[in-house]
Amino acid sequence: MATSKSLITAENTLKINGEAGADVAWSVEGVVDGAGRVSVQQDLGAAPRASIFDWSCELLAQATPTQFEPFEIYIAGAPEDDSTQIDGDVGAADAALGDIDQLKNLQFIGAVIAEEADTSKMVASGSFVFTGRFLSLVCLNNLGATINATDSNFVFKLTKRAFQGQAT
Amino acid sequence: MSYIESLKVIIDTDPLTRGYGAMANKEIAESLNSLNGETRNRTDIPRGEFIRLLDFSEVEVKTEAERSILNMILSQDVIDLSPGSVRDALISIFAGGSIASNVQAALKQPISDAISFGLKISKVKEGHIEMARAI
Repeated sequence: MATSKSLITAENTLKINGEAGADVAWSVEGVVDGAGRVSVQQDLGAAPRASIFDWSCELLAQATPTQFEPFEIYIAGAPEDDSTQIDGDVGAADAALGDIDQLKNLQFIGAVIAEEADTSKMVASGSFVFTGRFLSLVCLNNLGATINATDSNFVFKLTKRAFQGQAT
Repeated sequence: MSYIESLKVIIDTDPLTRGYGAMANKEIAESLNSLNGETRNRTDIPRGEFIRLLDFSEVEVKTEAERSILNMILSQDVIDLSPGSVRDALISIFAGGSIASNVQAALKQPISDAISFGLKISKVKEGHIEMARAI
């Protein structure tokens, strides 16, 4: 009987936040309402590489957010041969987003919604397809409150998913 | 010019002398979002909102021509105020009566500094000011 086989076998999960031990730096802690943050650009490696990604984001607000307002998450890519040609020209470092208009050239992947107007933990997840090599995460805090100031209270996890095939 | 760049110009030039230079980012956002006592003409008003203003005993004594115009205007679910003639007619019909001032007030809306400056966003946020000041 044939066995399943992964065409891309290197599945792994990256922890992306502002903690010292994070796999990728993205210091979202303390981002005020209306501001955004760009992550360090990730080099996903030469092809073949994963192109399906799962994400999960957990966060706390520092003060009471506005119910049903979003923490928006985007990705910015760059082509294989030029890591500096970044969508929205958002930069490759862990830094503040310069202008909300830059988001217009990014791909929206999802949001964490303030399901309640209190400072309890909020979590959301999703999946996206990205076939490029260089990937940055970008957020816009529209929660109506500052993100909690403790770096470990914001955790974004990105899992590279393998293509599953059937061996012959 | 982007919205954030427009904000930077406003903060730097402080055309209404609000004292932005001495304010924290959040204070500037709150100042821009606060109603400033100015008004502008509304572009529409829901029929129900307008009807609630009316004193029907006053409507009854209007002339037939005035009631006819009023009926025509109130045939819209949402009264389009963009033609100046509609606004003028409503003000004229109720001029001098007990609800004259209420009608005039209802056809205008209070605005904030942000709207006065023509910023194309519903609410200025602290982070927007942070971005503008970082330029």
